[in-house]
Amino acid sequence: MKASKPVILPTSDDLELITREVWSSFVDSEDSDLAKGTDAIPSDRVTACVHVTGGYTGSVLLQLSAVAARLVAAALFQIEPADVGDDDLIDAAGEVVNIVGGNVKGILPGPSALSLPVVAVGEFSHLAVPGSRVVRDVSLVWRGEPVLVSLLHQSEGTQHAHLDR
Amino acid sequence: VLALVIDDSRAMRLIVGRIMRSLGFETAEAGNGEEALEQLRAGLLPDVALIDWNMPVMDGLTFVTNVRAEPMWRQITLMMVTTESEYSQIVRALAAGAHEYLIKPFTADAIVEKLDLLGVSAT
Repeated sequence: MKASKPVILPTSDDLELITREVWSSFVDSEDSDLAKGTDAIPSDRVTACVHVTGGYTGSVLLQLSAVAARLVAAALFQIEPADVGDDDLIDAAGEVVNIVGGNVKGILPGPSALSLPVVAVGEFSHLAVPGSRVVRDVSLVWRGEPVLVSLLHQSEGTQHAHLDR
Repeated sequence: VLALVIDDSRAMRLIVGRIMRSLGFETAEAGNGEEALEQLRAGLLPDVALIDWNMPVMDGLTFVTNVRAEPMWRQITLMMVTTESEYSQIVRALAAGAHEYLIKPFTADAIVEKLDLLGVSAT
């Protein structure tokens, strides 16, 4: 009988390290502001997601409070938070999850492909990934606002991931 | 000296474009590989193209393959700037004709280092 190979997953610390690198490169060079947190993501939120298919099948999700998402977009576009529009929010959150997801994919079993990002914006916006469950996550806080990064794994017979926290 | 920044993210085009302009380059932008090819067909001839991989319409790898198939565009230096970090993907991009490969997230210094390696400068 052939033994199945154990799947080595990134740890929560890996997710945090990758997120920190993205933050320090593009969002906030004083990334010491990004700390471990426990706050729930409020109902007014932005959720961004990329899917990984191949050696590993799952998703990487970034959930931010609407305030945090606005601050991230303002930082990326170098504009005032008040001037951030929905298109800016979608572009910024999509690119951040794309970079985080791409780097997470790099330490997952491969080869695998990364999808284009999907972003949901707005009050009570809820993104469900059918057949997936959260296998790793890290809760962070930045400028007093919650940021949650999650790795999902998709397998047959798994219930929908509950992404609300 | 002209740099063409190809990325579907406006934020990333802004960031890469800003870095290139700070180094003295003029910049042009495209939101995907097809848009970039249209600009080349219309006569734009950049010295260097900085290319994302995952884009709608036409991805960066297909763009690189198309550019390398056209002798008229042989002088364009092609640098992938992408979140794809798997070794096999890097090999694919280089085999298709990309000259260098930079993984996001990056710093301005990392872009400078790669341009130095390629011998590309604004002067």
